[in-house]
Amino acid sequence: MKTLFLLFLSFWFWQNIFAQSSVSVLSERIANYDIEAVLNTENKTITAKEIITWKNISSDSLNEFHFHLYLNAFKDNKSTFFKNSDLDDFTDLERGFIEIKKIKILKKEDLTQKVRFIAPDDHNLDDKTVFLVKTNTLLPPDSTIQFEIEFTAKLPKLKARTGFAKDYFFVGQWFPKIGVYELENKVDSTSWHWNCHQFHSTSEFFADFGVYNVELTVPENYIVGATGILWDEKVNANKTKTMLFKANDVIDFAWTASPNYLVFSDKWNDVVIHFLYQKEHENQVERHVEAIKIALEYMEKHVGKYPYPAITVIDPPFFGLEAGGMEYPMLITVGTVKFLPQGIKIPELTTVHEFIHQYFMGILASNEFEEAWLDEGFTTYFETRIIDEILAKNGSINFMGFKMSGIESRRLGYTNMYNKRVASVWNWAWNFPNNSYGNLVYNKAACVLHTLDGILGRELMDRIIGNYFDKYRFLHPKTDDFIDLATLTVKNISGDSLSNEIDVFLEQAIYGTQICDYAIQSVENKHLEKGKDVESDGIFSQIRVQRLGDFQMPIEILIHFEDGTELTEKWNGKSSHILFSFKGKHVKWAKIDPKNKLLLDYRFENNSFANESQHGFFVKYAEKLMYWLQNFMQFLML
Amino acid sequence: MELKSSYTNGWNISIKTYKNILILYGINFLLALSFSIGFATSSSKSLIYNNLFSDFQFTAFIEFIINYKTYLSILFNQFLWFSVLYMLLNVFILGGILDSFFYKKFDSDRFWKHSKMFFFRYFKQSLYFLILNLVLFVLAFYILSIIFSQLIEKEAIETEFILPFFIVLSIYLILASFLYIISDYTKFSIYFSESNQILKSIWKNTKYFIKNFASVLILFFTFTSIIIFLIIFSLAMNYWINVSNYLSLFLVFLMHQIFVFVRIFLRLWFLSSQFSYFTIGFNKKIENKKAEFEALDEKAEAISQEKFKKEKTVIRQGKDERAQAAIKDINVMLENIQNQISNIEKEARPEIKAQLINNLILASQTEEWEMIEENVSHIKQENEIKRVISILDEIKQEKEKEKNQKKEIFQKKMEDDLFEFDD
Repeated sequence: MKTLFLLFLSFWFWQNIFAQSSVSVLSERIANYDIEAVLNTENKTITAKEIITWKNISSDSLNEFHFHLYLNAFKDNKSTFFKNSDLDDFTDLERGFIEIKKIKILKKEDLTQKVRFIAPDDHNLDDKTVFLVKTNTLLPPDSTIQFEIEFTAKLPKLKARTGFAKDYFFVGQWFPKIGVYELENKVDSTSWHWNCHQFHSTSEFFADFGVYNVELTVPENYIVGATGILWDEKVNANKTKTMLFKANDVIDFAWTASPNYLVFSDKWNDVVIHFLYQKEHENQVERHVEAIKIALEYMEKHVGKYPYPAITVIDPPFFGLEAGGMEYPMLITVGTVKFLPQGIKIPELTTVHEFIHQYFMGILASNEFEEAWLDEGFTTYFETRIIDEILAKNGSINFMGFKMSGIESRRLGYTNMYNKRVASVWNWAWNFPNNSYGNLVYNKAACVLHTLDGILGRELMDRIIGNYFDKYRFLHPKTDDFIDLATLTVKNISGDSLSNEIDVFLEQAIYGTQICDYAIQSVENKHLEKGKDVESDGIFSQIRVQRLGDFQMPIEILIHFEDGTELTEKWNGKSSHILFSFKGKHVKWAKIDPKNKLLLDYRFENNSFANESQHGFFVKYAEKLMYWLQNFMQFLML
Repeated sequence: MELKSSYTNGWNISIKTYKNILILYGINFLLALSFSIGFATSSSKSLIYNNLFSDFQFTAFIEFIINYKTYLSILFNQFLWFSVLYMLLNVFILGGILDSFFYKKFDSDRFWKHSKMFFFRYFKQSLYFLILNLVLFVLAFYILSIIFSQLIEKEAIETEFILPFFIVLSIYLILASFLYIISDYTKFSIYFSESNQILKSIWKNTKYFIKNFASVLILFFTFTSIIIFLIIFSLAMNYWINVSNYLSLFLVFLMHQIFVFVRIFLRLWFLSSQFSYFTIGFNKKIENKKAEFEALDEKAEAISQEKFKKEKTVIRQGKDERAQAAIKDINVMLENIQNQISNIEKEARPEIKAQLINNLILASQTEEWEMIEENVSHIKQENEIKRVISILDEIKQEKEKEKNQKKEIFQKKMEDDLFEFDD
């Protein structure tokens, strides 16, 4: 069996060489995996062997190697993941785990007995999601080591991201995966360390790029979708089939299998789109495929080229929705239900969001554990752009008179937070208190980027993000890399002043917890007669603008006069308040941020002030209220 | 035929008692107006809410919710309390409405008198049906949650949830409709029987509902369909009319008020049609019972006549006997006088003859003579017969009284039995 396996691997190797010769190498390919896995649909287990080929790019000689065993997060209720999630306790049958049968350096030292579990994030000794092994020999810089690992993965009941539900399997974080050996995140650091976080309920991705050759054996009638492209498929004698998937320059490999999938394939430019969907969702195939094409086109136009040959979109069944809305390299999961009205754009929104992750989680591949906003924040920012500008111009929800755009719903997530100061956007994923992770990392971060977009203008914003993508793809950029690049780009195009503004803005918005709230406190028009302090008779108008929050940024104030003329004033927003005075004109109203750029301003109500009270809305809704009450009373009529 | 006349009768009654519609609409309008007037006169210095005047803008709406949180919570409570108040007022005037339906005209005095008279009975009735509706809702919800948790347990797909959902929803709606219908007929029954036994009335009307199942359902669904159509029409109009200025707002206001008015009219037309259907049946029963009663009455009359005759005969016989006895007495006395006269004629002695004549004259002045004369007079004037007739009249009156008492008892029993349709 072993010989056969090795023969197989060598066959793959040559085929790989042949294949790669015509495809450019996009990443440094530090961590490469050759996996042979057999799915047992009865026991919900995967029996597998893998060879990890890892390159030491550091200047250190190494004899210690760190690995993820993320499926152990589902082992019991003592894992860090379990403690921080809202899941009910698993029964024995529902639990998932990964057991290493053997680990050795290929054809060399057996390390099985040297496996030692560690918990670098919270020192939870019961958490078994990270282990290390120490070798007898040192691995010098620029050399490669191959680990051969035999393991059994018992899949958990699908309650979060990965596992099984009836005959549906979604298999993510299922194999032993090596950590990232990187330079410490300090200025001018020359010291290297293992970055290998435990599995958390909020984040799971940080890995080196590599080539994945994964051979999956499943029952013959199962349809399989996976990261990469299907390279080979053969039917076995025992009513199983073996499929070989290959993926280059990716950071992870996930797959799914079910006998109930239907497959729809399409193409956008050179990118093959596979949509694996449920029979009952046949009516929504077009919605998903259209969304992915639009997302592809938009991201290529505004960010950069999608570098992979395919994208596989997985539509889980209703009972497997826990696997929905996730991103993996070249594979995303969405989620819908049969009777979803056209006016509710959840399928489009999920498809677009998860696809955008290909850029920020998959290609830029920042450290999701330590700087999740670089993935989720940018993804949400582009999600709202695509949804609001193309896919759902009339609202991501436009149903029965209720309308809500993508960015409105995201902004609400942030502005409605009980405590907006609870943490900064930049924070380690598991350190966000009181479930603030989503609202800060997704929603506030999206608002920050939209505000930046508003300040800079779309063209400059796209140029910054385009530069960022071009410069850092396949390189794990950090927050400072983005800020530095942004300020530099602005400096080159618009000069120091705006660049400094942007620097201060991002510093506060990303690393700070300040809240932004500018308000017009009053608009006064007085008729003054010539006297001691008044030079001449006439109208004297005054507008008082106040900074109520501690977030400081330049703002614009639009002043509308009774005669119909308008004037835009600027204020650097640093002092606690400012007065604008005018002679000879009645001010009708004044408005802060007239172009609605500052989505970080958490209260819009106080951004405008009219000299005369506004009644229209109240009269309209009073009529509505009256009518609703009349109907309700009539409903109760005996 | 009965159904058709129910619709037309209902229509006619509603038109004749149009003041009911005005009262209900008036209450509805005034309550809603007083509820919303505070809001209508509010204002803001912020321009953001102008975005909600011409269209719906989520952000502005959320800003409003956040800034007027306290006020909205008060408004929500008011909304509920006004609804409760309206419900109570409806219960209060129900007696008056049904009374005006019955008399086919609106009389203010009668309206308020009957409203007052029936209030507690209808209040009790409404409470019972409210509880029944709540129980039904909780039951439906509970059943649905059990089914759903089982489906989740067996890892069903969403389409498998739809069928049980619609089945339970349909059953719930059907049963709720049934309750609604029974509730209406119970009101009529309470009005007619003036009974305080609400539960008994509910039970009787449940049986009435079952017996007249098809007809009452047709009535119900006719009006429900019209109201549903009206609601859809109104929603469509709301969708099509874009409120962007005060004129369009005023037009929408007018349209809404017409809609509410029509809804109230439809409800009263429906109620009066049901009432009409109920009274058609009720009158039929009354007619049948009346006929039955009249037959019994005639029978009783015949029996009374027979008895009367018999008694008359008996009395007549008695009178004859007494007359004959008197005649016999007279004959005896006449014979005695004749004997005395013969004796006088035979007497030759003048002084004795004179004595005998004197005796006879004295004898004619005795009580016996008077009695004879009296008897003769009685017989002649038939005074006795008059007395007898008067006695018989008294007997007849007694019988009449007895008959009326029986009639009343019968009537009461008839009312009680009127809804015992299975007997």
